[in-house]
Amino acid sequence: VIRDPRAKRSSRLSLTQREAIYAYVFLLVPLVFFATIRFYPALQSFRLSLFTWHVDPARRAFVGAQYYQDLLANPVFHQALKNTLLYAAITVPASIALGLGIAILLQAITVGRGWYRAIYFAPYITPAVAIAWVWGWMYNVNFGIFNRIIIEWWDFVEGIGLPWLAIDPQRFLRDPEVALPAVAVVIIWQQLGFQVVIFLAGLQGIPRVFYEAARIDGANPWQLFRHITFPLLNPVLVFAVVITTINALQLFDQIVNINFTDQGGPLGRTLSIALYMYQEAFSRARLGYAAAVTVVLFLIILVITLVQLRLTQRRVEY
Amino acid sequence: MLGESRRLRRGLDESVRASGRRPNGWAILAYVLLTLGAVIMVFPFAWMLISSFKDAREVLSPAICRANGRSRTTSRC
Repeated sequence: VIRDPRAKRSSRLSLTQREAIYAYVFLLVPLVFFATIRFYPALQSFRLSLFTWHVDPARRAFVGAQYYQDLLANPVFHQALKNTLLYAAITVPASIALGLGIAILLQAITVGRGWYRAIYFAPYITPAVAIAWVWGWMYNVNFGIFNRIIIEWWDFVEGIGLPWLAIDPQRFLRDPEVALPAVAVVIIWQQLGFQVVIFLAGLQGIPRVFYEAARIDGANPWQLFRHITFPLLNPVLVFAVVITTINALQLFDQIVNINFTDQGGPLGRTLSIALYMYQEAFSRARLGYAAAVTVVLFLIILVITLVQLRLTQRRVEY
Repeated sequence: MLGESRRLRRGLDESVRASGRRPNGWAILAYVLLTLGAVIMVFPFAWMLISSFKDAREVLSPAICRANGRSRTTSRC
């Protein structure tokens, strides 16, 4: 008697096992998608970084770690790396502190909370390109509203006889010292809404009874924040820190568009690694070198994220 | 049943909030700060909208509103 061994085996599978098989079959679809559309090109860029670039794959020459050595010796890459870390160092703490503060304020009010939340969230859902152009226009040295306000203020304080309150007009995006913080302000402004929304969700997940109990014990608002809100918000904080840092390290659209005639300028002081990679690949057609930049950026993001997770993730006890 | 328990819980939250906080001081401070922040958040959108109603010459003069035909050279209005 010939038996189909498969049929026998499948009949012996328990219901849970069969459900698991179904789950894996369905998971296979996104897995194949990720493997072919995301992981394969990512690995491909690693391979590209080891070869000179040529359209015909047969004529690409192996150069090994040459591009990585070039990269590490290149002052422009150093500048881009420094700028990118600076962006992260400015935007991450600022947007998290402001976002948390606004979320706590929003929790303290009842009327109009939805409206405020919508207003704070609006920049986040606006295209980064549009935002960069509007801010670039407002920062404009000659025609921008900011310098206009500064000059009006100057006239005003002179009019009332307090000229020492006047501020000089700024060059903003044309000033190598001011350009990067000026761009960072735009990024904080844009990401704030996202922080507010996730912190608001986190705050609402903290059981009220803890506050009640602490208040009965005589805790003041600062103690409530320090010993209840802050520790219980830890998972949300970790998420916010990691996401914001990755966003800051991948910064591209805003920087390209805010200083469109001098991308990454002045003097490369707003250049980010992503923009540097783009310029090398598509303006200077050095795809192998650009791929090496991508791999380095990937490693930096990986290391920073792992360190952050290690440092900030603690077990939460309710 | 579910709606009722939800209403009950909301009522409880409300009463906890009301009993826990001093009547209005914090809320007023929160409204003031939030409104200040909202003005900053909205400003670039407002400026974008205002600029969209200006013609090529007006958009280059940093005046906030139309020069009203009095003088095209001055930036005041």
